[in-house]
Amino acid sequence: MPSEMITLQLGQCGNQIGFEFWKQLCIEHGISPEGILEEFASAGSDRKDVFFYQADDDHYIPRAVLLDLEPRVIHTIMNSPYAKLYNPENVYLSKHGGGAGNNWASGYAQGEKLNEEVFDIINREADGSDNLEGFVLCHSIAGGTGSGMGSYILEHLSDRFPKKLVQTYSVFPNLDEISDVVVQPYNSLLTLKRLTESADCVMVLDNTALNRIASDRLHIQNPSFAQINTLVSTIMSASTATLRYPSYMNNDLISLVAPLIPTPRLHFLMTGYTPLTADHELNTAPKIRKTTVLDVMQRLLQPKNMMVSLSPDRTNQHCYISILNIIQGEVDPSQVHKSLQRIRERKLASFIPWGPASIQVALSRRSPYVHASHKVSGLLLANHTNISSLFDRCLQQFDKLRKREAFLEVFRKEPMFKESLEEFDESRGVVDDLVQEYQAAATPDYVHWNPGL
Amino acid sequence: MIHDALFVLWDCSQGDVSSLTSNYRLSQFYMPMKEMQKFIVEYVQLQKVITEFKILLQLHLFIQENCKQVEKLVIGNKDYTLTFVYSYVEKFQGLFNTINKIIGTIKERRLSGCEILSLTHQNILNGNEMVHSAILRIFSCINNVFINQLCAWLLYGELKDPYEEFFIYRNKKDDLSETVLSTPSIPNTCNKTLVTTLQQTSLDCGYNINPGMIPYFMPLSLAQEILFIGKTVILFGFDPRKVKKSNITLNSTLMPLHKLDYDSRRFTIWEEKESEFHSKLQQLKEPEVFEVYNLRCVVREIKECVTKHLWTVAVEEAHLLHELRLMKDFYLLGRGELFLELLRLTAHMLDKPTTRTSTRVGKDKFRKAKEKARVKKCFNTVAQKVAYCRDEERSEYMNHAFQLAARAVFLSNSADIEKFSFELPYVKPIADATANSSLDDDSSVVADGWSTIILKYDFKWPLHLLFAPEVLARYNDMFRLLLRIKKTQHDLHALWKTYKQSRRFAVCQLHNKLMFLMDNLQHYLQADVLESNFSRLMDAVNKTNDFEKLKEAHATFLADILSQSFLTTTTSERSEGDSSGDGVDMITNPVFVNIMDLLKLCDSFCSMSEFASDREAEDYYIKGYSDRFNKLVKQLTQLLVCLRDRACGAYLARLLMRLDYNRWLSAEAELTRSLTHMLRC
Repeated sequence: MPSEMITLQLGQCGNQIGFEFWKQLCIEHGISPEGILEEFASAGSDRKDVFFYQADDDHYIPRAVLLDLEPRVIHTIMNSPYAKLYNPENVYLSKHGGGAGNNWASGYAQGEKLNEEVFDIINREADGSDNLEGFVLCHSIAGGTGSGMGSYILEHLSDRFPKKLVQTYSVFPNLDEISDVVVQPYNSLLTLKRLTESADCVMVLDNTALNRIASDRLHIQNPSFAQINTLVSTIMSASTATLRYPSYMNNDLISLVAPLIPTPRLHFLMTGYTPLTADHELNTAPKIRKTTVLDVMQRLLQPKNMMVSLSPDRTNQHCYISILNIIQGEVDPSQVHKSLQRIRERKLASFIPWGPASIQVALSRRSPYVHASHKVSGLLLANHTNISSLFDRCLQQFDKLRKREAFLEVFRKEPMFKESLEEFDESRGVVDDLVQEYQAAATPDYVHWNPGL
Repeated sequence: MIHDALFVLWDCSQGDVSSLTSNYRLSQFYMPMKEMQKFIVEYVQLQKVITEFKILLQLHLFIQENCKQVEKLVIGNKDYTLTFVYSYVEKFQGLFNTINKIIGTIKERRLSGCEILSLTHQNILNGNEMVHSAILRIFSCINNVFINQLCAWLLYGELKDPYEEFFIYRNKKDDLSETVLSTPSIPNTCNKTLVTTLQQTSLDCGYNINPGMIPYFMPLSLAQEILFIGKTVILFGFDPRKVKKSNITLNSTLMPLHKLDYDSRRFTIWEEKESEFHSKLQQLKEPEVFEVYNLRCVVREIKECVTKHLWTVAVEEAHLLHELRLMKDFYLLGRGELFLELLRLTAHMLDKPTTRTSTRVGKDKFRKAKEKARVKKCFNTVAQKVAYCRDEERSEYMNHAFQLAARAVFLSNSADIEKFSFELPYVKPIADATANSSLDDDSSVVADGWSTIILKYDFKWPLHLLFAPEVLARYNDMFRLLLRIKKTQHDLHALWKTYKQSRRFAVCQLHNKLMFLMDNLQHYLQADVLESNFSRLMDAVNKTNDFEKLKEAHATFLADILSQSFLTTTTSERSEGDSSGDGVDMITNPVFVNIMDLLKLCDSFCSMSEFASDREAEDYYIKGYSDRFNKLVKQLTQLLVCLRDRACGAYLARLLMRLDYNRWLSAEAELTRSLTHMLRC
């Protein structure tokens, strides 16, 4: 059983998107909510073993660890039809159930306190796989548990499993609306430092962009959490498609990640997906729409389809470091070359000037059990220097709060910040460096760039 | 003429002086008659009696008939003058001349069988009505034999031709196909011939066309069709299922197997059409009906029937489409995850040269240890033992690993897996003329597992029509290239996490470039070459229900992927020089050589940690590798100029489009303006 992935779901948001992800995987692999392989799926050649394992009674069990400090979301999961899917030993709820109070420091401290129990679960899960390739961490960077406890786990995962890849699906807060979490900028920044230093690959899921896409592209007035999470699970399932179906390339996570991330710290990837259809639109347009590879690849390069909200690049200085398209559906393979050529001729994507870069296209199968509304659909995974604008915004928001010394007392309560607030400054430095490195990567001089300067 | 007559009389021992006149005419006739008799005797001695006897007999009869006529005439009235007889006989002059000519030619050129058929046919058209009808009679007689022979061949695949008079003959040697599999490749001068060789090598069950024997009125294509039909009919007789069936019944009776077998198959192919075809063929015996056009029509009809049957047997019963997909999944690495797993299990072994007594132990120790840690525990001890063993055991180990890998990725159909097996033959290390690559020359001299591994495929009957040894050998060329690239890519990926933790830009950058190269090379091969061509093949297969067209499409597919993967030579200049080699032909495509050099560079880069102990040494190596990388990439782009006019150049341009997508490589290589222009448009 090669290249297994273990999913860690942390906090309210992490568990919600994780839940949607597993739902989607079950549907795509023909596994019932109870973990039983449906009859129609018994002859499938898909690779369920990457994300699931089979118990003695042939039930499929997700390689998932569910962690939270408050019971609400996990209780919802455990009362859903999917309750029996998970291994109950892998569901961990802190005993007091009080949560982290949207406080990064509290989440981090609790992570430290519970670390033995949590890593016992992770170790057991890791021992159960033959050739574990890495971990997928689902969390949000703004709250308390996902960000704080997530940060702690991130730091220690790379210590305990130095050879394993750590990929995160990190939800960035919606900056368009006023958050009820006032310390969100603090939480985000502190988490960003860990994402920069301890993760191998961060899939940025920007709530701002997801909401915008839901309202603009899917015409949903006030998108609900569930609708946003469907978007997320679509991306998560598509980005793991080459791992879960037999294909000629990109059969393991490293082969997806390595070409996208040429330098160690620039590992924040944005995603795009097209075509998107909302559930309510599906019924009105039941016909399968014709989409071509070129359509899909061109649309994926349009900023409006990007699931990360970037500041407009007015000086046109930003560029792609790398692009990987995962195209699913009925594709005429000879179209790939033509589309690549067209995009190159029309200069639809600008690339880094300091090294080789290209659009890699992986063709992947689609689940035969899911009704596809389009002939061809595509996911874009891109490393773009303008993602620094997102971090820059985090920095600005942080600075605004920090200048006023607002809401610092909740942090001071925790041991990490009792003595000093150095951690804040250090994290700010790391994120600032990251922003600058991204900006430098857009110039030819990046070859001589030195993080120390 | 009188002189002639007197002279002949003198010579004649007939003695019947009373009829001088009749003697005269006899002498006229005797000339060809005597010749003929002599001729018959000669042929009988040679035992070439089948056709010749008939033709000569016919001639004989014909002339005798005429003789009798004249004889009767002369004897009936003794008052006829010599001139009268002469004038009477004169009208036969043309006929005798022609016959004389024919016989002369037959003798002179020692013609036989179909050649005689040709010759007589050529003489049918004659202004002289008598000659025409006479030759026609002779022709129809020979034609009878020909049609019978044709009929037996077309309908039953039988060839009773001990004197090789038919234009199809049976090969005496059929053991020439075995050696093809192990040779790496043959230099193919151009695409067209490659397609034809790939096509022709199949369906070779020992029968061939003898071009000299093809009647002149029959175009080569028609002859080939006839050959094909007969071969196919014979082939159906080899159907293992039927052979088995008849075997059981034969065990007790001890009858020759062939006989019964032949009966059973003849009904399955033709069904009720057998008599129809038979009568149509028999009609052709009539010289009036015998036109090439008519013959062609009948042959076409029969062929259609045969190909349809072949289609049912090969495509429907033997699941050809499924098998083609298997070929893609296995030979062309369509199941990437399976081979990734296989690489994990066997890389340490394939890295080593295939030698009988292995000596290069030290260098691989590191990787071996690393790899072994990943292998399953039960498997571990076997691996340890086998890693330096002889080739048979290595093959066995390889197959074991293959089964394990297949189980690991949950390949559902184990029957499919069992069709494939590996072999690691021992290949004598060859002194490589191109071993001047400075960075590592040992790997170019000694053939390691990567360059010798053979994937074998046990296909169902009658798919050997498609997957002839030559075809499988070419598939193996592809397989080795793809596996090698996959392995290199895998090694490079494995280093990613290591270099991610180091902050040294130069190493990272070089690693990235190599990785980029391998990734894009693989994308090019898998998507642009294999997937595109395979979907074209599938389209072609779905459109037709003619097995021949399918075969052609498959041959084209294979030739295309080979040439687009730069596995064929582009020029014929080198082929002459190669003949001095010891049988193993080097692939001389310059693009391929370049790609192999790049692969070697990647391999040395991956094993750098084994010999570069400190930072300084590492810097030194990195510098060397970077320079070499730049040089090779520059070379690759420059090849585009040299190959611009060839098909190969277009494929290279495609590959370079991917590699130079952001125009960085071309900028870096500081190319001439015209080349840069070529790359950019």
